Amino acid sequence: MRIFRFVVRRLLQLIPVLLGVVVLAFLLVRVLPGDPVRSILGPNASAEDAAAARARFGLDQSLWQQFLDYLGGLLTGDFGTSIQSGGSVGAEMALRVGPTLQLVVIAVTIALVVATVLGVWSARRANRLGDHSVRVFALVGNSVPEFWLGLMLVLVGYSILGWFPAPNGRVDPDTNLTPLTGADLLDAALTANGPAFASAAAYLVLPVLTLVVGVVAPLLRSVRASALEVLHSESYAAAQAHGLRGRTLHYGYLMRATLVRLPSLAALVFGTAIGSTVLVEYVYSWQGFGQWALRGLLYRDYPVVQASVLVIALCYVLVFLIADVVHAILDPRVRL
Amino acid sequence: MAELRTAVTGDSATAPVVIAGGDRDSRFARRLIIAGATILSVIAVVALLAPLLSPWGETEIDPANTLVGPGGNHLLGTDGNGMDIWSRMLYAARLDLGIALAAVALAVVVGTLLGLVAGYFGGWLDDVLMRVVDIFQSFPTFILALAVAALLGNGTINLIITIAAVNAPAYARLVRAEVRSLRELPFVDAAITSGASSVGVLWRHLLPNSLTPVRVIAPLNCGWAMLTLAGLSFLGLGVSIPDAEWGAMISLGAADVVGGRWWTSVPPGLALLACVLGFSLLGEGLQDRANAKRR
Amino acid sequence: MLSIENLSVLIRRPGRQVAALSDVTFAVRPGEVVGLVGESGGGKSMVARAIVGLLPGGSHATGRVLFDDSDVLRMDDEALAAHRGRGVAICFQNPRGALSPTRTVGKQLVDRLSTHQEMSGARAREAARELFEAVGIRSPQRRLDAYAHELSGGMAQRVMISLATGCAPDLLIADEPTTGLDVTLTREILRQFRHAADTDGRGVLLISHDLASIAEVCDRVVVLYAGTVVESGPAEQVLREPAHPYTRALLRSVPDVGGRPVVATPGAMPLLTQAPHNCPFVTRCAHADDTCAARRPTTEPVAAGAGDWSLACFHPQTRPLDADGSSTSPAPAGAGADPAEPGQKPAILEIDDAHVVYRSRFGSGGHHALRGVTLRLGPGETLGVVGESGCGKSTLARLVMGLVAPTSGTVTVAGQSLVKQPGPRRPRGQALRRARTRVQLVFQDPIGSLSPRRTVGDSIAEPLRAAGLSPAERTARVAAVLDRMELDRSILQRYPHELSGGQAQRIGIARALVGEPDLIVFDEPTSALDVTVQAQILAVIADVAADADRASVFISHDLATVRGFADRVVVLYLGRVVEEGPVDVVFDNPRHPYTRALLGSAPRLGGTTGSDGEAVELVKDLEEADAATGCPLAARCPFVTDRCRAEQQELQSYGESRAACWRVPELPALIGRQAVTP
Repeated sequence: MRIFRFVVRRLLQLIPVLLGVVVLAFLLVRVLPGDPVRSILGPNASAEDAAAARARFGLDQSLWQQFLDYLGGLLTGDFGTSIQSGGSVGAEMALRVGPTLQLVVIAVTIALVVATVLGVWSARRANRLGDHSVRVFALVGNSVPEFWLGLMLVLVGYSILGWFPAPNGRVDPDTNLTPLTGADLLDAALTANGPAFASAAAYLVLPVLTLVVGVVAPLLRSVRASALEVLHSESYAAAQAHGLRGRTLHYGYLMRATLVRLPSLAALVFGTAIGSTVLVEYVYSWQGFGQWALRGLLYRDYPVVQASVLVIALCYVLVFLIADVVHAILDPRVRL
Repeated sequence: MAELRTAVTGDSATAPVVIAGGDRDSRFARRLIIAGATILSVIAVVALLAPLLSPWGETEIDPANTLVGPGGNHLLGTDGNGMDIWSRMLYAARLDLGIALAAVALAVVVGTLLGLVAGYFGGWLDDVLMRVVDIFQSFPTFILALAVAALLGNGTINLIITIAAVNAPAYARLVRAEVRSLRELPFVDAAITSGASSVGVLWRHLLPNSLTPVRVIAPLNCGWAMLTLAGLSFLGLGVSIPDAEWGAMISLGAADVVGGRWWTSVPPGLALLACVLGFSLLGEGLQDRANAKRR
Repeated sequence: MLSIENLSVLIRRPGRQVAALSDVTFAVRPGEVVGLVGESGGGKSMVARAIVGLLPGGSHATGRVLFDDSDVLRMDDEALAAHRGRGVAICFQNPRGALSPTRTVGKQLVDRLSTHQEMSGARAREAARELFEAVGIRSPQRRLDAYAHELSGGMAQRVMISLATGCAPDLLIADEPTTGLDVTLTREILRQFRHAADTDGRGVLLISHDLASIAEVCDRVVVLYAGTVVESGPAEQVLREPAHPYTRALLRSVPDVGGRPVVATPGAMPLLTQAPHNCPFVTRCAHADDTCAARRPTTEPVAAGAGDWSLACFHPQTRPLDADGSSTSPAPAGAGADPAEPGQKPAILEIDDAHVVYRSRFGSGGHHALRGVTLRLGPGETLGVVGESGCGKSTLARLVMGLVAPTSGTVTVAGQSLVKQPGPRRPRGQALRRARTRVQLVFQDPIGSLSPRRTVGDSIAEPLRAAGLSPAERTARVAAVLDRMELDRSILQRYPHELSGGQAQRIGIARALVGEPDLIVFDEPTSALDVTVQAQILAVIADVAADADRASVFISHDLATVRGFADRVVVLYLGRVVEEGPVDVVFDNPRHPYTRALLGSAPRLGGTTGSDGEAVELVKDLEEADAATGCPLAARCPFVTDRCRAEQQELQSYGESRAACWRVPELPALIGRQAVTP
């Protein structure tokens, strides 16, 4: 029950932060140089046309009135209307969140597994050749620009080898996949569409690989560092000096104490991955949330920018909240 | 620390038993630092000597030869505008290194000052500063950089401010935490009871000691700043053509790569990778060394 | 069982080489408790590491560590795995750190039982419960599910002992098992080891820096100095008439509650880079001659001694310890002159009914660190403050220094107020900074109290800077105070991490002294130092405290150090003064049950402890006792009555001293009865 109380308290603490985000995003987009109306009407539109368009989107009203309208809409789940497309922002976003989450979740999961296994392995061989190789690999992974890596994977995997589909979407349109959640693998599985599943999986390989490389490196370093800390700790030395055997030592004394740190690391890395997807989606024409938000930003599409900022912030803080709860469950020292 | 295994040399009962280890840690750290410093010095020299090393100008166009492969007049070929890849790759080091270093320096100065003040005085000032930092940190840093870059618009100074603004909160938090833990140590009480003023305690005792973690983080951060800059340029929010910048060059060649014309994007990407790797190696080495000292 | 023969360990790291052990030879037999004694840097922990085969990286070891006739140094992995735990188990120095933080202590114990005693399931858990009970853990069933961070220091040490014995080892090693524990707990823990040897026939190796405190439970002791064994023999004989000059120095450096004066030995232990060719103690030894400087003495049996008493010295001493010490004792402050009568001169420190409550960060509650302390101190006076950890000693120091404000009550130093409080106004700005320099603090952690990135010279001059002295004057004053501390000028340019503990504490005292304050507070100034260095610093402090126009407060958990030079002593318990009076009266004729218990558990030379039959044994650990209303000691006092629980106790005069206990007149009779029926 204490966990429940903790979650509620943390959720309540989120409110001021999110409110701050809403206000900031609202104000900042309006301070942006550039005009959303100009960008849809084109440079030759007359002043009357522009005024009419402005009135249509409510941009002629006072800032205060606009904010109240926006806030009122938010409370009823209405994110407003996109200036660029004229469609509902909420509906557009719903289509875009799925593909991106699918990408990030798969990549982060793979990265977590790889980093844990490799990080602990590396720490146990600290300062031997294997460990040094892992560390150098992690450093290179940490240094490679994701968008360039994406291009290189396309060059090799598509242009040269031809093993993977071109970077032009998420699934072969000929498979007639009915979108439900936007996460194509899930949709294909739900509609029992075999060819679509295979196609979606093939499209996923390169972008996931790109993200994994970018995300696994910092995770690997942290896991190795905390495993090393445990291995050097007095408590591990004590267990060792009392002659406990390999398995007990490994699972009871090393893994548990190392994994305690993993949730908050995972949350941090999840954030990094969300940032990276903007670049990765761009490279692979993924038509996901990142690309949608980026276009909103470039065209000064106020409602789109506001909505995406809010959703990213919400997503990020929720992931951290989950991480804290998992941490509290894993680590007896944490008091809720 | 303790090795699990005793390495036996010779089975005679009188020969010394030698236990390996002890120095490997520092040797590897030293190698990392040397490797990183070497890479960075080479790039710095190249940046300085770019006019001497490049056969073509930074923005010089060879209209007869657009998108030609490596060889001939163009060592690494040309891009779609007919500009020489090799020459631009060398020139780009200037802008990339310059912006990254300036941005990190600015972030360190601003972040440290804020963290110092917030950590030492506490109270409402601390609350306000930390709430702002919270809001900043409730976004992935690259997303934040995107937003700030879009807000400020293009231009070298704006890019420096963007990257600095995104990084400063982390330094503020780091220094604040450091100051708060240092405040509990006896030497701060000693300074206060010796009649030192608040400014004296801050400036003479807390600042020099709280910079230790900053020194380790800053090089790693330079690499990250460089990736951010290139990423922004790649999306068209950073440096734009015709200025030479690695990310912008990769962006320009992106479409060609899908068609198999690799030379437009591969060389600038490798240059970027090398430069960031240099910072990473240096930072990792310094971190190792700091950890070894702490132990 | 364990026989170490000519063990030498050389540690080679890039840039430095340390001869950690040189030709160490000794043995431990089953059922025997052997004490391994020496100051830090002597190589005690290295011996322990060698015995379990955990030498640090870069070690070059020669000689043999024979355990049941096989050499630990040359064991293969499998043999080593069998040796660790089942053969030898260690109790680590810092038990809370040595327990895994994410596994319940019960599981950790079961791990040991199942590995070494082939137990499993319910049987292992039952055995674990019994082990917990055996080491004196109350409600063991519940404690099995506790995590390390939920345990108090004493409890964690008990758990550690149960973990080690749970391996069913032939040899039990305890590395400084009582560091950080209060005197009343120390004896109880040491008894556990004697018990392990007596009932289970285990060999026990007890490692400690304090010969006097462990000697009681040891059969034999081995004294290490700079990686060499200088003396080993039956505990009682070595303690009574030590033959090696270093052993004698070690024993005479420890203050004694009986009031025996401390004799300081100059110098510090050398850090050897290779095995010594001469006697490593030669530079500090009063009996040294050319032979000692030229050759290393071999270990020879002491002719007069019985059993296996041996030592490595060309000039063995035979006189009893007390005979040659008395001449060079530091003069106790105010011993010759009449202690200043408080009230005649204006008081330097006045504390009036001060309470300090540390509020917890969220909401209600808080920690009541001081509960109504009243003190008055005149010029030239030295006040000793004693009590166990958590009694409010350090809070008292912070209160006097103006680092914490009283929640109620007032504090003034030389008539001025350093904190915001009712009554006297606090000066501001420059005036406050000058007022602060009138009272100075000498810290417990000598190196930590110096700013890590400031030079020593800078740190010493800090109070002078606040006083606004010119640089020339500052230099002169710093030079003068350095001379008094017998430090070389070259030290001014050094940084704290380059100093030894003793040097750093001299610097700390120099900084306190340089501004010629009215009051100096010494907050446990020697507890972080090695024994012989501690004696040197105590001599310096005694000298400083004797200055006529300055008052001193000396805070310590160790009663014996206070006795050396305090005029008056105050005993604190859970934030209250429980006894107060002239130092000799309180020590020789304690009134309060708590003072009696403290004095009773303090070690004395010659193996006897306590005020001869009048010792009071408290019934619980400090951490388990909770003070509600009434007497704070009620939960632990063996003589508690309903009245004690109900009424708050005020200080009342009993002869020359005052104690906060109404049963004082009846106590002697009660104690006699307790002794008859234990």
